[in-house]
Amino acid sequence: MKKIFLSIVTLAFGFSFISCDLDEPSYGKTTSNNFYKKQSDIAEALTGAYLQLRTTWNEYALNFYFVGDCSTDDALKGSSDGDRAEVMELQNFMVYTTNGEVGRRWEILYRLINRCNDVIAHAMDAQGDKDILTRYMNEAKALRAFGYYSLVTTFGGVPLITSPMQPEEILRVPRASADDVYKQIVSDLNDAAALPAKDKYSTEEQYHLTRGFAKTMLAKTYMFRGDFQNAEKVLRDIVETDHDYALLPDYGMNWRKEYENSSESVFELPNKVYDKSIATGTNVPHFFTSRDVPGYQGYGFHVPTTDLFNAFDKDDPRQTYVFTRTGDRYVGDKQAQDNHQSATGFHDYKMTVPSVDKAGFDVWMISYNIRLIRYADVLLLYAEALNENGKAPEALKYLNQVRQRARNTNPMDPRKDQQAYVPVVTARTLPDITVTNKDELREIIWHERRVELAMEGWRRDDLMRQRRFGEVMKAYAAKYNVQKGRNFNDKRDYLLPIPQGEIDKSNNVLTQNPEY
Amino acid sequence: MKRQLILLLIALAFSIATFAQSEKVITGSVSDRTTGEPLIGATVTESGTSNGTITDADGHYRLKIKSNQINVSYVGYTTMTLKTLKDGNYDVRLESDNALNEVVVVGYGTQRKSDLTGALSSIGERDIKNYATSNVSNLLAGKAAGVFVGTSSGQPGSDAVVRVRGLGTVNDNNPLYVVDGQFMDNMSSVNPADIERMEVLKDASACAIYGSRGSNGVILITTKGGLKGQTVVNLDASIGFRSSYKALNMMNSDEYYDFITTAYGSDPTFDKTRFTNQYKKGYNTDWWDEVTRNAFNQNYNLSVRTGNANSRTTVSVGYVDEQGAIIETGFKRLSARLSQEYDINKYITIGGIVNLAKMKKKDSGALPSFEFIQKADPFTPVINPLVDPSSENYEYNKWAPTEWSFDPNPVSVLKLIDRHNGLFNVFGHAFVKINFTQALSYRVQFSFERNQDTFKSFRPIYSAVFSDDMLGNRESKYNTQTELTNNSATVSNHLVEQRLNYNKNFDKHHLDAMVAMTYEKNMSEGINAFKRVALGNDEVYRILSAQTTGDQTSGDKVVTSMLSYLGRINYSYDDRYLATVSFRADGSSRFAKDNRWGYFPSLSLGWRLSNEKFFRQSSLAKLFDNMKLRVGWGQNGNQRIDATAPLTLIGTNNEMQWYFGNGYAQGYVPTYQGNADIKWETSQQTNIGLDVTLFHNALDMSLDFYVKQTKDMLLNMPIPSFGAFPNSPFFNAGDLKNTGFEFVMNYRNHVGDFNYHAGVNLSTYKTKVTKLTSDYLTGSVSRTYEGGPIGRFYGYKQLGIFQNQSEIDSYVDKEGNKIQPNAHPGDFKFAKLGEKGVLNDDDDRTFIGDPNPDVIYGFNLGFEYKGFDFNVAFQGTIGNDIYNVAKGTLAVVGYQNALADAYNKAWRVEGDRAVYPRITTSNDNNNYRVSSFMVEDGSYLRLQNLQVGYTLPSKLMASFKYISSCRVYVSAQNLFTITGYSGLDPDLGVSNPLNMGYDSTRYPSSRTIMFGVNLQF
Repeated sequence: MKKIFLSIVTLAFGFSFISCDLDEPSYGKTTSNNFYKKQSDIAEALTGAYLQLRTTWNEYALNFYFVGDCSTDDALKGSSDGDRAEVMELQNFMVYTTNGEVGRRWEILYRLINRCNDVIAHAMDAQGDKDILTRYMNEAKALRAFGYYSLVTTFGGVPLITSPMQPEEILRVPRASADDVYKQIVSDLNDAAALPAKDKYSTEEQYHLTRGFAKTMLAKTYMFRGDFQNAEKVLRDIVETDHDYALLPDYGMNWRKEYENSSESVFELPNKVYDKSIATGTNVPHFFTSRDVPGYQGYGFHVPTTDLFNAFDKDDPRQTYVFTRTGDRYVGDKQAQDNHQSATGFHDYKMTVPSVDKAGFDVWMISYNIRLIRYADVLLLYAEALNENGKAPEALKYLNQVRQRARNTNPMDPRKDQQAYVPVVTARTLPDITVTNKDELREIIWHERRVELAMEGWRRDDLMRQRRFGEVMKAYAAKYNVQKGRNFNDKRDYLLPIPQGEIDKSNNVLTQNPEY
Repeated sequence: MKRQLILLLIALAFSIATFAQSEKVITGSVSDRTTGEPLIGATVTESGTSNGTITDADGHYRLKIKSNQINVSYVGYTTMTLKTLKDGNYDVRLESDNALNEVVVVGYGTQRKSDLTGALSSIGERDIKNYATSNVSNLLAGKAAGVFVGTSSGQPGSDAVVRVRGLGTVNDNNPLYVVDGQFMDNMSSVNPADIERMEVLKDASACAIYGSRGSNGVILITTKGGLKGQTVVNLDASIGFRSSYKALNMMNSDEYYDFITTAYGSDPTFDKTRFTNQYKKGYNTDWWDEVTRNAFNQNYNLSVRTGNANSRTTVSVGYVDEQGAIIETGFKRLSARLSQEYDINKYITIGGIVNLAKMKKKDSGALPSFEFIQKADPFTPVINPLVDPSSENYEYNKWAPTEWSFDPNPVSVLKLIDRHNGLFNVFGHAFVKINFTQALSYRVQFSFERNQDTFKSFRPIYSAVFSDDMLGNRESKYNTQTELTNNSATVSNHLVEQRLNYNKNFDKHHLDAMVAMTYEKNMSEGINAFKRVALGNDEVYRILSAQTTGDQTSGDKVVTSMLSYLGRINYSYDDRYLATVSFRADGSSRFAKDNRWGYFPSLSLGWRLSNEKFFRQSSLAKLFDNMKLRVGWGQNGNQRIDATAPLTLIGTNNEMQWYFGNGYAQGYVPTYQGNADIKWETSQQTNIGLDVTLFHNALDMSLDFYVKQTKDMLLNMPIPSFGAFPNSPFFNAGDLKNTGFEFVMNYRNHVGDFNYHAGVNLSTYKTKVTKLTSDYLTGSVSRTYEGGPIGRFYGYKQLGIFQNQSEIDSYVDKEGNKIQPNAHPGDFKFAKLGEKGVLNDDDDRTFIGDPNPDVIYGFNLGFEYKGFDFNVAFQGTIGNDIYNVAKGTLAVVGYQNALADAYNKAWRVEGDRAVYPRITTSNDNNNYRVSSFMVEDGSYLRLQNLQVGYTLPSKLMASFKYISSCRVYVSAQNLFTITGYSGLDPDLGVSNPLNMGYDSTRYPSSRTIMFGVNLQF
C-alpha cells in the first residue's frame, strides 16, 4: 500500500516538473524584436515619424505659430485672458521653466526625432528594395533635421540623440553644444539632398519629403548661423539648378483648397478627414479664427497686431490674404465675420477655413493643409544671402519676383462675397526695388519677408537670425506702451527655457539656459 | 399561519407527553467560562449512559434524561459534571484547559496559536457572524491592528482598499488574498456568509512562505466546512436601506444668480439677459437630492452543514441585492457553494469545493466625473417642461438640458446610459490527502478559478430642446446616434499544489515540517467591440448587430505562469523555545529569463517565558497566564507589474495615420517601452513582538514593532521626454523603509449572565524613501523625495487674503519688487519662499501636507445579556491630511455651480474675515492654484459597524419543533463619523500611494441599516 502511494507521489511530482514552463508567449503583440525587419515595417515606422507632426490634439503646427508669431511683434496671443496663459507668458517674455507650450514643443519635436531614429537605425538592415529603403532613411534624416533645427534655434544646445536608446541611457545624456547639433543637421540634410525632386513623386506619394525641402532647411540652417556663402550656394542650387518650384500667379491662391501642395509649396502638412469619428484633421484653424462667427467654432488666438498691419503698404493686395475683418463674408455664409472680440479687430486669414470647405465634415478636426514653407520664402532667403554676399543687383531679381507676384494679386478675395476693405491697386503699387546699397537693401528685404510671410510662423526665426529680436521687441513695447516686449532680456529671451520637468527627471544632468 | 399553529400545538402536546413518561427534559447552553462564547459541538451526556447530544451552532442543547447527572465535555476544556434534579435550564460554563490551544491557519498549514512566532491577526467566526454585508473586506475594518480598510467607493460591490502595515512600496500595496489555499484577486464573488475565519499575516516571517506575493501582507480566508455528526441548517435574512450620508453644500439658485452676476459684472461676453431669464424661471434644483436615494437592500443566506463519521458536507446559497445610494447603481449576487469531504479509508481523504457566483453590477461610470452632480446649475429642472409628453421618444428626450452648466444634466446621464457588468465566476478546488503514517501526510490540491465578465454600455439617441435662454455648451447634451460598447473578458487561473507534511513529537521536541511545490497559470482574454448607429433605442437594438457603422474591435490575451518550491520547519522544545524557518523560490514568466527567479527566506524565534520554571515559580505566574516573546526576519517580493514589462511593443491606432496623397497610410510607433533588466522587488522585514495573557485569560495583549525595508521598488519611472518613450517604463528605481508599531488589547469578562468584551487596536507607521534614481516622484499634487515619506502634498502656502491694494503693494521681496503684482484686494496671498522675484512655481512651492496618518486605530465594545447582544466597532485615523480638490474646482466662477461657501464666505469688502477669495472671473492671481488652502486635517472616528440582536429564549424555541434558535438583529454600517473634514468623506481608500489623501469627488460612501433574522433548524 505504502509503496503505491509513494510511487503516485513521485509520479505526480515528476509530471509537474515536465509541464512547468515559464516562457509565456506575448499574444497579439508586435515587439521591437520582430518589427523593423522588412521594407513594409520601415514604411510604417516612417509614417509613424511623419505623424508626430500631427498627433491628435497635440499638433506641432499650433505650437509653431504660438512660438513663431505670438512671441513677436506680428501677433498677439488673442482669445480670452485666462485661456492658454502659457502663450501669454511667451508673448510677454515672462516664461517660467514649467511653461506648458515650451514643454509641448520640446516633447513633440523629440517624439519626431526619436521615431526618425528608429527608421534610420533599422532601414538599411531590413529586407526589401535598397533604393526605396535608402529613400526612407533620407526622409527620416530630413525630418530629424527639421526637428533639431526647430529645437536648436529655440533652445540652444539640446540633447543630441541619433540612434534608439534604452531608458537608462537617456538618463545619462547631457545637452550637446549648439555647434554639434548644427553639424548633425547639416550632415543629415546633405544626405537628404539625395531625395527625389518634388515632381518625381507620383500623386500617391506627393507629400513625401523632397530634395527641395532638404536643401531649403539646409539654407535656413546656414542663414541662421550667418553663413551666407554656403547659404547662397544651396539656394542657387534650388532656384537656378533644380527648378523644382514656381510662385503661384496670385498670392491668395496659396490658401485655397484647389492649390494644395502647389508648385509653390515646399513643406505642407496634409490634414484630411475622411471619417468624422476619426480625428485625422487639424484643429489649428479653430484656434485661430474669430470667436463670434457661427459655423467657425473659433477660439480667437493668434491675432495679427496693428504693427503688422501698419507694415503693409496701404495698397498692398496681400492684406486681403493676411487679415480678416468684421464684415468680411465668405461665399455660402449667411453671416459675416465678426471680430469684435479681437484686440486689433483682425484675425488670421490664412487659418480661416470657409465653412463651404468643411461641408459635411464640420467637426473639431477638419481637413485643411497647413503650409509651413513656401517658395517665396526661399526666394527671399536667396535675395538676402546674395545681398549679404555683395551681390545686390542679383538679389533684386528675386526680391522683385516676389513683389511682382504680390502686385498681380487680386485685392478682392474671390472666396468672399463681401469684403470690408479692398486695397486699391494702382500702377504704383509695390514697384520694383532698385536700391543696391547693401544696408538699405537688407532693410527692404527684411520688410518684404515680414509682409510676404506674415502670420506664417517664421517671424521669430527671422528676428533671431537677424540678431535684432530684442531691439525690435523693446521698440514695439515703447511704441505701443504695452507689456509685450518691455521685459525682453537679451541674455535670456533669445532662448526658451529647458522644461523644468526634463531637468528634474534627468536628475540635473540637463542644465538650464541663462537667467531662467 | 394555520399550519404553524398546528405544529405548535403538536409540539406542546408532545412535550406534555414526554413529561408524562417521567423523563426529564433539560435544556441550556454551553459556553466558555472566561469569554462567554458559546461552544459549538460540546458533548452533553447522561452520566453512565450513552444517551447524549452535542450543542448546536449557538451552544444550545436539549436532552431527555432519566437520571440526575450529566457530563459536559469539549476538546481543550475541562469536563464538568452537573446535578440535574428536575426539568429546566442548565447553562454550563466550561473552563479552558489552555486558551492558547486555539488553532490558527497559517500559510500551507495550521499552527497552535501558542506556537506562533510570526505576527498574525486572527478574526474568528464570532467576530464576523451576522455582519450584514456583501463585501468581505468590510469584515476586516477595525478588527485587527495594522490592518486598515479604506472605502474606495460607495458603489455597491466595489472592493475596499486594504492596507496591511501601511505602505511598503510606492507600487501596488494590495495584500494577497488566499481563499482555502487559492490565490484570488477579486473578492467580490466570495460571499461573507460562507467565511468561517480570516487570518492576516503581517510580518515577513509569516508572509515569506508566500514569497513574491507576500510583501504587502496576506489575508487567509477559510470557508465553512461540514460538521461531524450533526446537521445544522441556518437561514439568515436581512433587509434594509442604504443612503448617502453627506452632501456637499452647493449654492441655491438665488445665491448662484448673485454669485455669477457679481463675478461677470459688465463683461461683454456675459449674456446677462439670458442668464437672468434662466434664473427667473424659478427652479432651484438640488442635484444631489435628485441623484441620490434611500436604496433598498436585501441579503439572504441559507446554509446546510452536515456530516457523519466519514464525510462532511456544506451546501449554501446566498442572494444579495444592494441598490446604490446613487440612482441606477447597484449590485446583485446569487452565489452557491458546495463543499464535500470523504474519508475513503483511514489513509485517504478526498474532497473539494465549488463556488458559483453570478453577479450584476451597475456602476455610475456613465458620469465621466462625479463633479457632474455638483456642477449642474440649479436653474435647470430635472424634466424639461418644453417637451411634449405625447411626443415621440419622450422617455429619452424628456430630460432638461442644463442651459448654463457646461456639463449635462447628471440625472439624464445616469438614466439614459444603460451600463452594466454581468459576471459569472466559478472557483474552487479538489484535493486528495493521504496520511501515510500519523506523522507523514501528502496532499495534492488542484484549484481553479474562471471569471467571465461582460460589459455593456449603450448610449441611446436623445434630443435636447433648448429654450431661447440657452447659454451653456450644447454638444454634450444630445446624442444623434446610438453607441454601443460591448466587451467581454475571461480570466482563468489554475493552481496545482503538492505538499508533504511531517509532524512528530519526540519527547519534549516537537517538529512540524512541510515541503511543497506549486505551479500556476493565469490567463486572461478579452474582446472589446464598439459600434454605432442603430435604428432606435429599444432593447432589441442594444445589440452589436443592430448597429450599422464604425466597427471597432480589439482583443487581448495575456498568460503568465509561476513555479514555486517552498518549505518550512516549525520546531519547539518543551513549549518554551520555538523556531520557524521557511524558504520559498518563485520563478515568474513576467520577468526576462535571467531575472526570473526570486528567493525568499525567513527565520523566526519565540520564547514562552511563562513556561519557564523561574516564571512559574515567581509571583508573575499568578498574574500572567502566558507571556511570549517573538523575533522574526524574512524576505518577500512583489511582482505586480505588467506581464509585458520587459518587452517594447509596437502598435498603432486609428488616429495614427498620415496622408501621402492617396488615402491614409497607417503609422507604427512604440506603444509601450519595456525594460528587460528589471528584477524582483524585495522587501525585508524584522519584527519583534510580545504576547501576554493576564487575569485568567481575560486580557490579551500583543505588541509588535517592525522595520520593513523594500529594495528595488518596481516603479514606472518618468524618463525625460526627449527619450520620447510612450510610457514611464518599469525600473527597480528606489528603496523604502517603513517602521511601525502595533498594539492590540482584548478584554473579555462577565458579571453573572452579563458577558462583555472590549478591544482596542492601534498602529502607527512611518515611511521614508531611502533611495530614488529620479529626483522625485509625482502624484496628482504630491511629491516624494529621497529622505522623506511617500506622497506629501506639494504646492504654495496660502497666507490669507489681501484686504486692500496697499497690502499688495507692500508685499515685496528684498529688492522691492512686488511679489504678486497681478493680485487685487480679495485675492489670496501666498508665501514667498524664494529669495526674490514674482511668485513662481520654481521657487515658492513647498510641502503643504502629509497624508500619512500618525495613528490608525480601531476599537470595539460589546456585551451579551439574557439573549441580548450588542456590538460596536469603530475605526479611525489621527493626524493625516487630505487634499480637498473640490475646494478649488468647485469654487471657481464659470459654467458650473459652486460650493455655497464660495458665496457665503467670499471676500467682499476690506475687513471681511472671509475664507474664499473675491467673487470674480479674473484668474490673474490664480487663487485656486495647488496650495495649502485645499489641505485639511483628515482625522476621523467612524462607527463602522453596530449590531444589536436578541436571541429568543431557548425555552420558547423548544416549543417550535423545526426551529432550534432564532435571533433578530439590526446591523448598521457607517452610522456616524466624527471629523473636521469638510469634504464628502475622510475615509478615502485611494489605491495609488502617490495619490494618498487626494480627494477628488467620488462615489460617496454610504450608510446602511439592515434588519435581519437568523434562524437555525
